[in-house]
Amino acid sequence: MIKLLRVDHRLLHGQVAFSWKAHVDADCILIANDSVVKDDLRKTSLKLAKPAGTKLVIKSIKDSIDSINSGVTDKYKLLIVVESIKDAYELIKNCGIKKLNLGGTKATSETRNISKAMNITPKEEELLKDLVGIGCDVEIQMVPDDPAIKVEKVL
Amino acid sequence: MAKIIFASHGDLAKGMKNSVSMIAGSLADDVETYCLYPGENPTDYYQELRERVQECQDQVIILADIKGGSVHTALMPLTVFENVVLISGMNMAMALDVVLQYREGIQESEFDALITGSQSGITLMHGIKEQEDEEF
Repeated sequence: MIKLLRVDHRLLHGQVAFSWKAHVDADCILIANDSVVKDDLRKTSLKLAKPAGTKLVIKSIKDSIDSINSGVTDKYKLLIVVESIKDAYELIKNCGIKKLNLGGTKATSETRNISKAMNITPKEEELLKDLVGIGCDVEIQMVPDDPAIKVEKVL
Repeated sequence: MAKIIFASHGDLAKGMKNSVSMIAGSLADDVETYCLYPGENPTDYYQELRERVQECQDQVIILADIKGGSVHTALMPLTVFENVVLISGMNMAMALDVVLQYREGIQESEFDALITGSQSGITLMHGIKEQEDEEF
């Protein structure tokens, strides 16, 4: 069962590992990311952030989709973290996920700021609008303690 | 709800609360801090705390900075009370665990898990090894 799908450019760090894991009572964290899979240094640092008693699986976006759709993840209370809205979009479109949590994305020259920690490009804005359009519940919420803001309010 | 206290030499306790709240948010708001400054006597805090501990039914979880330090030693006699748990060697993992997981109180059966959890956060790294992948 997917408990949470989260966009966070830092992937797994204290906030996600401790507060979200505890909040959604997850027992397995999936990091879906195409570059981390090939990067031992990043894998090492992500594993350091793994909360005790949790399984941490790192897979490419495609492999993540295949795993979720195969049913092998059903027995877990799964917390999925992706780096970008595009990656989240892929998972939602291919796995029929109904809810998306927007944690944080980095500011660049092409992005506009839509909350304290969320910065989106015009292209990402279109993706988000599309997700809202298909009935996906998209909320901006950095930590469980913050109020959740419906993304359509800031698009 | 347990009463949680961070106690230290100098500002560590205050800083720990500040750091914990960065992750735990408002859950750390109720944490009490005791910082011992030069010229002060931790026994004064002990006396004051002793009265409060006796009056309250709730569990009091105290994290002290260092084993055998004057703060730890001064507060140690509080452990004669059933509702007091005193732990030394406060670190961030321990503080987070207490604030996030044991805010309602910690059972005797959970003591070991808290201590091992705090200890397992101490690691040494030197060089990067190839990582084995965990599967579903």
